[in-house]
Amino acid sequence: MNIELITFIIFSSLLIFTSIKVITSSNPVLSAINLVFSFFLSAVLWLLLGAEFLSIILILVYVGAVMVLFLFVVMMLDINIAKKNAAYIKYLPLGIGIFIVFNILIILFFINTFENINYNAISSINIISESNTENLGFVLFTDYILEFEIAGLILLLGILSAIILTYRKNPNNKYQDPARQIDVRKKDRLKVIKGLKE
Amino acid sequence: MFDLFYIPEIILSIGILLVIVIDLYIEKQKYFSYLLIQFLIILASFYALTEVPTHAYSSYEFSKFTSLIKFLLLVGALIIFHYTYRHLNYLNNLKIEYFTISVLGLIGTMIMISAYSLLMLYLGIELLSLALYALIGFNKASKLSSEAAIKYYILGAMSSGILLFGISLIYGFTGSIDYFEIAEQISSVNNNSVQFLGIIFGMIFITASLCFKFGAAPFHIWVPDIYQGSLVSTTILLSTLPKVAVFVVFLKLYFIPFITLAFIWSDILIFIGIASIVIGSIFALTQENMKRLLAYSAISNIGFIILAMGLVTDDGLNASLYYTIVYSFTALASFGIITHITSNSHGIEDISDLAGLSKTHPYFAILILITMLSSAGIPPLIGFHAKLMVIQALINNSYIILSVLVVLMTVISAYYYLRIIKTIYFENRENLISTYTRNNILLSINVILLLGLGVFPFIMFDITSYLASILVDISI
Amino acid sequence: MIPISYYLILSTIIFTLSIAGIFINRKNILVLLMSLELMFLSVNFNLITLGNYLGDLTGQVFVFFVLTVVAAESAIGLALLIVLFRNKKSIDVDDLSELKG
Repeated sequence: MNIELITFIIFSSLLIFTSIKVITSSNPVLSAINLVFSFFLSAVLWLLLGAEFLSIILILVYVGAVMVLFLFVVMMLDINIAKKNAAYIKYLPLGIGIFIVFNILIILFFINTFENINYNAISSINIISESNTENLGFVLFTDYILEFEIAGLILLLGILSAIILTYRKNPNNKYQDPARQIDVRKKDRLKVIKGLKE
Repeated sequence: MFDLFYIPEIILSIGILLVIVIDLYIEKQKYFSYLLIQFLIILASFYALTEVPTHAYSSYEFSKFTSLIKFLLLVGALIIFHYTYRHLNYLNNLKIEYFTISVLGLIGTMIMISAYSLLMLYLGIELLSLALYALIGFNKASKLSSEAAIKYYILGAMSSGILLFGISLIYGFTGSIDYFEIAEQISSVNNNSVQFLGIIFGMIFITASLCFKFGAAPFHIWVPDIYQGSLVSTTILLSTLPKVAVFVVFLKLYFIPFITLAFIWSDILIFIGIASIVIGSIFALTQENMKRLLAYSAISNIGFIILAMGLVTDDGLNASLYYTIVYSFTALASFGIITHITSNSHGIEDISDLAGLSKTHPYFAILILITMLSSAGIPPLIGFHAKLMVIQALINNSYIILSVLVVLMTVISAYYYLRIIKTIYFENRENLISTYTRNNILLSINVILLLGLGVFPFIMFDITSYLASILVDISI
Repeated sequence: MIPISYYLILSTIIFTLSIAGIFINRKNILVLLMSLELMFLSVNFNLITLGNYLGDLTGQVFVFFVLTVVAAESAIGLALLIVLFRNKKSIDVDDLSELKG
């Protein structure tokens, strides 16, 4: 037993445990925290696979931005934490059934599948240096430059639609409108009443 | 380097950035921004038709076929935006962001059409779906709209996950994400090996996800709900542009990388097609809501397209191309009419609302009459030729029982189209329908073309057989 | 060296867990969105593993784009969730029942 295998076993079993907690917690905050743990654990496993840049990105972008967004929404929505209700129990067998069937199908298929495959004539991308980040950057700005620009469009679309969906003018806001203040004439405010006598 | 500027995607991307900035400064003059966007689309469609770029980028394909399909999409978008502007203006919900998001989705469809690698395909699909999530939820004040949006979001994200799982399997077992290299790998794989099984697994995952995006039968649950919940202008967009784009993705995926697996996917596609036709025709019978009815009708039309594609023959391919163009044309007309007949923010809701339309609005009544007869497949109209071609292709390939079933389902579906006509012409009730215009030239041309192209069908035959011939040139 | 099938089985388990999570969860749409995040994590796992096995960078590049797209996607999803909450004052999955016919 080497150290790599031990690391893999510890982290993968923890990952499965936290994933189960994500989908079964009744409290969304707990789910989110468990999801954060899952991201950390998979970042470690990605390091084992040699994807250093992506594992850092996973923590910085996912935990740092996306999960914080999730937690922010949890706080903002102010949801009552409900107890596990009957519906949850009702659909649990269905969930377990799906889980077992899919897993048996796919795991049986994956065991020892890849050890006896021979690929013919794959054009692999040349790796220019030891650093994973440098390689990734090199490929990203040469072979995948068009995809990179389209990703920019997708982010623009994300910004636009998130703003357009959530932005609203609050009618209760109290603010001055200078244009209307200037527009006011004497007759709008002052009413002279004539002939008032006793 | 300068001729790169003529690529329609680039014109639209740069132009839309300009529109976003310009719109900030002229917030009041929405009409000007709208005209700017329409001008951009006309410019892009002009260049899509006249210039076929010669630049080579390994994962992005330029050819006559993609240029022509892009031209058709852009013209469709032009008409849709015309209806949308007037509809949103009438509802007092006009925001230029609606158009910018739609144009970004349009760029997504064009990327899907030109994609030549699975990564490019994924990015195009996501650009389109993200735009659609936002457009469906655009009517923020409405409960129905937000519910439809979140439903579509969850199912759509799940289908993207399944698509990615399939892509990862294909990548793992063939070692590439480029269509051409995948095709080479698959053709050299032994049919009994584990690797072959893995590729089939991946293909089935990808097929499931694309059928979801298409709205085909086992994955059709979302279609009626989303059609009902969103604004009518979003529904037109949803029922035309993505369908054409996903259709082209189907063609390119199955006829380039997976062509050697045809003996497997043709059966799957025929099953999906038949299931869609049956479900779409039967479930539509009980619908009272106009938009839900048209949603089921869309499902059954898509069944025809997939069925014709599943035959893997020249006439099947021809029929599916023909059917796709005719279907989007008819959908453009039928939803276009609904944008004009408005009684509340969701357009007309029930079919019974249309009673007596022939007395109050005879112009729109005639338009609905022609469109519905065309959808039902009554002879002189164009819908007839489309259905006929699919059934002919079925018979030529000796699927006699299936063709009988398809004819039967066509007869059943004629019932609910005729029911709408009966409501309009033979039921008298006070209707609450208000229209914001007496007539619309574009809509009239659209509907007259349904009639005219039906009387002279060879015009469309020529176009689609030309499309099919240039498609064959690329793929084989 | 860890066999590649270990990684693939791990990612498959997470993938199926997330699909099961989408089906069993009837209480809270937020948790549903988290299940979707989990699904994309497992797919990324697959891609990185296979890329590592094949010895080329395409898998990692793919994961890079998936991370980007999913970040934008979850932003839109949360925005839609907020709009839904403003309209219905609830984010129960079972309350999504107005569109029926």
